[in-house]
Amino acid sequence: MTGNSAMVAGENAARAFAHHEEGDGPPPREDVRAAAMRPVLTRDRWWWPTVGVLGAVVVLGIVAWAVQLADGLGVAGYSDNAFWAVYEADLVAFIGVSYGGAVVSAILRLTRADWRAPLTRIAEATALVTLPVGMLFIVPHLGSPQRIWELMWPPYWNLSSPILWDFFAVSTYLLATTVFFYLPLIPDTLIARGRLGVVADSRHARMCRLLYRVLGGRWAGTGPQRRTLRGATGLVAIMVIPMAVSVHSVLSFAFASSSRAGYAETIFPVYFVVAALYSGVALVLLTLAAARRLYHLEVFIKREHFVRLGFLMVALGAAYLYLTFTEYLVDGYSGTIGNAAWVRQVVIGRYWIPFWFYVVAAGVVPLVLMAIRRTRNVAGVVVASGLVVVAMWVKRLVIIIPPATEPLVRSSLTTGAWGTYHFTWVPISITLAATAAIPLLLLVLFRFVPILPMAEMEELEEMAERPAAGLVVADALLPTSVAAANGGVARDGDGNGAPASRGAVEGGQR
Amino acid sequence: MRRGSGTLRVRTSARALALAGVGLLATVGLLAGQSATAWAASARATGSQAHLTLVARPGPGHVTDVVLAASFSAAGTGQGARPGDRGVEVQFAVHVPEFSGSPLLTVGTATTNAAGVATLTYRPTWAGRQDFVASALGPDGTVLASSGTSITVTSAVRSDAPLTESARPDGVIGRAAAGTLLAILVCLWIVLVGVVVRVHLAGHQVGKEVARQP
Repeated sequence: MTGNSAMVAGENAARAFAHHEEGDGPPPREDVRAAAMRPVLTRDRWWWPTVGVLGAVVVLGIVAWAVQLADGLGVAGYSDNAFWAVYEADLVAFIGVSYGGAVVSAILRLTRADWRAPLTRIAEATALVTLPVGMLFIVPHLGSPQRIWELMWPPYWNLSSPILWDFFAVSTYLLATTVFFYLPLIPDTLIARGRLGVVADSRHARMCRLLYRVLGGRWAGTGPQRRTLRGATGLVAIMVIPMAVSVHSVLSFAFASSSRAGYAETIFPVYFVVAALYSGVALVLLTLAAARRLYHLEVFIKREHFVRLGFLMVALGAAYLYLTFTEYLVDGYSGTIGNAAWVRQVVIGRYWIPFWFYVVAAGVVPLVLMAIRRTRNVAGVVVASGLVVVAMWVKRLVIIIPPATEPLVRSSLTTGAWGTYHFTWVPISITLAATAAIPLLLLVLFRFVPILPMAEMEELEEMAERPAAGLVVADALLPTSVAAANGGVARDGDGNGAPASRGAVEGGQR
Repeated sequence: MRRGSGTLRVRTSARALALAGVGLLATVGLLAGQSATAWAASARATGSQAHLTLVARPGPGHVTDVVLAASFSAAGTGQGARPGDRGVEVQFAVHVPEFSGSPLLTVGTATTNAAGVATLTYRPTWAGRQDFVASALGPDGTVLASSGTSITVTSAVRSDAPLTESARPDGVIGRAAAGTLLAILVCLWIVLVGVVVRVHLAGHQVGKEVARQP
């Protein structure tokens, strides 16, 4: 028996096992399963070099943090005249981008948007890895990490502190995000165990098997189990949306409940939530584009997905631009010393470059790219998303640094001059490390977890193919529908063809 | 011309002298008035014997209030020597130990009543020992007499504490809000963990049924 024939026999055995274990679920789709498990079963040549480079950047960030621990926050450019700066901006920006994935997935689930299926796993994974990275920024931001445990120890709780409520809110949201990622994964663990039968008994395969056994429990895919899972996922989806809104509202209270001009803004809770969703959707789009390219998912993740999410992104961007205008207009118009001073500094003063960069890069250009038909494609949306992610981080700096550097003590002993924050290599390295940690964690995660929600895609396909039961037929986004229309060749949104291999497997297994 | 001029000068000088005389009289009058007041003050101060006794006691109203009562008396024969003749301004101050040298911070002024007592109710902003100083001031601001006293404050209200009920957790509204939010938080955790458990229990039951099948 040759290696290939042994492999085919193994695959058939595994499929038979998997289908036997799946109970009364929808018919399997071989193309979906193959694409979803490909990152788990095979490791591309670029994987180790990419992980190595990203890991090196993360290590550089850890070294920078060690230097900061040894020499103090001064090496990060902090001073009495600039007491909050890049770490707080990182904290807000990274936690903010994590909301996009979970909320987009939750909204699409609750609205029963059947085109969501190929996106949800990647979106939820993005939220899952970004949130802990964002939470970690509290460590360099505090400067004295040995005190962090006091946040978790009730005798030390200071309920008057917004920081404590931040901790409560973000940790609760982390639990919700984890559960939201985990629940749809349960049926996939069974399918994945079956597919692992085709690979050699490597250490990686053994680890995956153990992981799937633990995560899947006694899942058998029966009707009652599916109903329970569907209800649970729906409940968590409902919970995730208000939690995301409340979490970033609470994060804004760290600023809004202060008495410093530029921070004490009643608009901040809404402002922060919209900013989080805006940058979060942009990050999801970037992640989708990267996964689509690296894992060859063009058949499943199409131009239409990017365009639809792109419209959602620019709608949020327009709302954020409007809120920015409102905030600056009101503060500048009121003419109070503190507010007028920081508005002037931001709009035409020393911070005009980052502020107007935000306006152009995150306010105007994405709108233009989505408005013009020629640029309303994957490349255009990716460019817009990249600009949004970067410019929204810059906007967080503009929110945080100017008010923190405004002099409040005016006496003969002080000059009354504004403080200055200077970037140093330390915060730059730590920020880059966090940025690199996101793709690094995603690469590692998808070495163990199917990148597409196989069970969910098959279930949605089954529902779409049951017009007699009165169900709404899904639009033509799912590849098999396109494949049928194109004579067995599924075409992605860019017109690239790929063979649809579903039928050969499906018939025999049912 | 010269005469004329001289005449003019003479006349001018006469007018100037007249005006100067009036001015002198006015000035003398003013000085006389002032000196009368000053005399009264000096009678208190230099009659030697101006005394001030400061007493601090807990206030009858708010539990954190301190009543500062300064009794002024002056032995002498001049006007103003008797307490009831005219109110004397008393300035009350507290030592601020947070700053180097523990400088005096004026907390208010009061005027003596007919009994010679000036009273000020003060709400301390920090707990602990507080050293007060009262100074009786003359009309020109000179210190006629001073006195000091100490009191240990066991409960104080921060200067930035709101007068009305706060939404912070140290107020009733705040305590209720914080308690409600913590309860919601606990419910969220229970629901999230419960959802996972429920899904697993569903699988567990199915697993048992499958195991029972031959």
